[in-house]
Amino acid sequence: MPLITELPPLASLDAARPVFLILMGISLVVISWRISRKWLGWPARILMAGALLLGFGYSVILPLYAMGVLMSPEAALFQVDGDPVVAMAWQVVKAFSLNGGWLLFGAGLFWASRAPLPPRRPVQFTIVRP
Amino acid sequence: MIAAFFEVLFNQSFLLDTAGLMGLGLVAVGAIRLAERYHSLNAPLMIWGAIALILGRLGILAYTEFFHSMSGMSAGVRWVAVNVPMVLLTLGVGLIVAGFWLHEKEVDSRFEPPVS
Repeated sequence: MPLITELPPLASLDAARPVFLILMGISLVVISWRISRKWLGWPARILMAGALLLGFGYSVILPLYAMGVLMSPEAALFQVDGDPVVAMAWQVVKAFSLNGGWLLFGAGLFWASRAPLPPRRPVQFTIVRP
Repeated sequence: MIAAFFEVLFNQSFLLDTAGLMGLGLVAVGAIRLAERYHSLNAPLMIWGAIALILGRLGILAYTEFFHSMSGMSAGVRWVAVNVPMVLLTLGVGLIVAGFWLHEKEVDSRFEPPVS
């Protein structure tokens, strides 16, 4: 569903949204990785798994949809070389990565916030003398 | 049988959408707990992001449900019905990421949270 604006295509919200989502996906993965390094145990792993799925979904799958490389199965029926089965398969990938990603991310965050957090892994500094 | 499984799970995508909404609810509740436990000022950003994502997803579901009955409405109503959920989805992701990062930056410089 493209946004309806009168701005030139490069400056429109329709063009800025995939770039924003790519940046958000990448930063979600990086931030979750840095945070989960300090936590211990399963909440961090589940959070990181969810963040990876979300990063994949927001940074890879949604821009492919926005660029027109992937299309919905209904649109694939009208294209000459579109295969609705392939389109449906990519829809499955998108649904799993975005919905499953938020489920795992939320479960990890919820679990980590439930109990007092496990003691943070002490950061070990090794000073290397030349 | 695989076709039936496919049809139930992905054609209407009900179960996966439910899982996604549940996950967003968990993000919101987890962020509420983090805000209470750490007395953090940035965790509420995560809560608003999760709420925005939930509302955006519900808005898109509503749009697909009411698509046919909306063809008689004015262009302004349809513009709002299409664009507002997308904006909510985009802003929601941004708020969750921003809230997560700022919360950790704020908490990192403090000691263990008070046991409540």
